[in-house]
Amino acid sequence: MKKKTDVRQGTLALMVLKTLDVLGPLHGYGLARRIEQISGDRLTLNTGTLYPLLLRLEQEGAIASERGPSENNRSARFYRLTAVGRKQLQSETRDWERTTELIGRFFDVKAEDLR
Amino acid sequence: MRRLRRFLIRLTASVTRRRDDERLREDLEDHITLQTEANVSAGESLVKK
Repeated sequence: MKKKTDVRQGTLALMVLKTLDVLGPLHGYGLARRIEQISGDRLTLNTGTLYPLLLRLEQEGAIASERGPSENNRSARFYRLTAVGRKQLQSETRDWERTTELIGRFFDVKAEDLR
Repeated sequence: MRRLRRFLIRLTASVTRRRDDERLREDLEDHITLQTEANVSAGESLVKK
């Protein structure tokens, strides 16, 4: 069975912000499952990493949370993207695109192009 | 005055840490509850055979 990839620290924040941007408010469990779903089940989410991250993002103002009823009427904490978080998402998306474009140049480079 | 300030800083940090720990504990409890419900809905037994 193919081993799932662990989420790289630092990229998880971007995944969280983007997932909340696309899907709207989610509880932590739902957020974890959606991120794994979006990855095509190629990623595993460690709850020991996810929840401290959610706490940090909330303390930084990128997300906000409030308790509400889940699909099965259980009480759960729902997280949503804030205006600050939306700006952070836009900024990090631009950074990623720039980095990807830059790294792509190295993957494409041939020796004869540099002579 | 500096000692008092240092003490207050340590006290605040301790209170914040305890509050954060409590919040994480609550979040993990919620996660386990929701995951268990999802597993049971998917046909898993609550009792390990």
